[in-house]
Amino acid sequence: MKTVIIFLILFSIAECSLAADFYTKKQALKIVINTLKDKEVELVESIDVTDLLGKLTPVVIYRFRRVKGVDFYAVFTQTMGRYEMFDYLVITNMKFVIEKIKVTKYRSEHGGEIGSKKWLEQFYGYSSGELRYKKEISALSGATISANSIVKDIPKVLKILYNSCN
Amino acid sequence: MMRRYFILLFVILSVNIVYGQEVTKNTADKLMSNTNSKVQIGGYAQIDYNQPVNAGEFSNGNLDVHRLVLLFGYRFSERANFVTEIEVEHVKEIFVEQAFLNYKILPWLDFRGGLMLVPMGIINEYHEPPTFNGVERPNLDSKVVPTTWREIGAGFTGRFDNASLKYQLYIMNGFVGYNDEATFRGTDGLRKGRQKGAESIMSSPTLSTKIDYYGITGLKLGLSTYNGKSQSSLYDGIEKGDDTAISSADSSVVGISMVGFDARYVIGGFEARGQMNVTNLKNTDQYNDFTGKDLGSQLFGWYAEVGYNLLHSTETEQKLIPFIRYEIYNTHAKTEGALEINDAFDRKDVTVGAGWWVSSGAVLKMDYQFLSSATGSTSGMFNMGIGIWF
Repeated sequence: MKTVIIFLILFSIAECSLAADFYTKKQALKIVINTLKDKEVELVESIDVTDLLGKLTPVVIYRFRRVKGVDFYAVFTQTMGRYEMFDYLVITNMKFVIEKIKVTKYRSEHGGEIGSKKWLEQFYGYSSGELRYKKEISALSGATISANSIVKDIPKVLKILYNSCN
Repeated sequence: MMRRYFILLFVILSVNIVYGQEVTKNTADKLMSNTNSKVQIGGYAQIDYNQPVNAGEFSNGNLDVHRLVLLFGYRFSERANFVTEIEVEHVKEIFVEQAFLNYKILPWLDFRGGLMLVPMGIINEYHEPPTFNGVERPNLDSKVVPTTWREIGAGFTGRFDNASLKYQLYIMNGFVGYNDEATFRGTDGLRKGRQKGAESIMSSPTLSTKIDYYGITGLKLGLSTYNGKSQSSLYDGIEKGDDTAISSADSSVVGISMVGFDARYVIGGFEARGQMNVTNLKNTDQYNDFTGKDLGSQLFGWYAEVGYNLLHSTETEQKLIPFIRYEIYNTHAKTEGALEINDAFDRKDVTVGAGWWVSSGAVLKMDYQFLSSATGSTSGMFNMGIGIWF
């Protein structure tokens, strides 16, 4: 009986942990190394803030350290594409200023243009303030819905990051 | 002690039931509430009013639920998903517009197979009414590129994010040029030869490719190609070595080589797009002799369109876009043999109108088309329409 109950408790914990396997430490480290093209980074801390501030999609924050001793945050999260959620990574410095963005997984048939490195570069240097599609951020033909979605999502993600790590 | 275990067990199960609310939801609830659902549902529709305007005669207007398309998708895993679109045209005709399985092999390489849209130009792949100006699609995308053009095939697609490139490469079934009777003709080229995956016949496969580049802010460029032969039912059952029958069947097919270039540009409230297509056909002389048809040996056309969102500087998500489109399309740009060029197939349209996007997925449209041909004939068409996409 004890075994059954222990199993059920473990099962419940696993069920309740929405983001338990959403970009694990190992996956995050691999993606960050590939994104920054810097093998000399190490994981310092991880924070699961999925349930904070009403963002219903997973949000996982990692703090990394470069070999030179410079720390940065890597936030893995999701937002809505044409018909399905897509995953993206935001890397900021310790002042929460965006240094890199990468779409790590895009699932819908249309709208994959959102992964364009060139278009995402527009967010570099952003930390707070108004961010509007076709205003502060240029249009992206073929990915209007995904582009609108990420433009609205990024300020929320940075707010969560700020509130969690400041 | 046992009682305590049961109470604990009850509490745990209760928590699970409350947390896992999905067990109390029906399918519709799940679709509407779960953004991570394995099932996707969507659709688009186009409801039109077309009023011909011809000098000196009365013309009835036409009111039509032109298209109502429902999309269903199912994700089997992170790598595999299926997408289908069921289309009802003119209220009473049902088609399957797409039905394909996609499997992600690598981040930049997907296998795709099934009934797929041929990637040629803009409209054939992106034809949901809120994505284009004008009540009707450009006529180039009817007479030269026969949208909605889809066939069964398989191939590869993917993206290189660092280079802002998307590629598509498919082996597909082709147009049927002869299936107990000839299908190609001068006025709209290959359009009547679309098989749409419905008991389609194949005598030789075709190759379809497209590359899109979107590395310049606001700009998207596309280059499409399509090569192969048309299909013919006359090959079926011919004995190998029966040169007479093979020669006869050869006269019922044409070689097709189509190239398309398209561009879309958006900056602030300004938007522009354009497309050019050239289709070179081989063996049309024999085809026309054999079938009595008037198929041209070259189809050519292009269009350019500009518009401006008058609400761009406001905070609303609504858009009000007046636009103008100029297009030329000629399905007798060249002919072979004794077939004379028919000037009636050398056409020019100027479309002027506006669209009011009451929401990003819902638009009210109105325009007027000045239609003319190289014969000197002119006419007009007044159009109003409702377009939705969800």
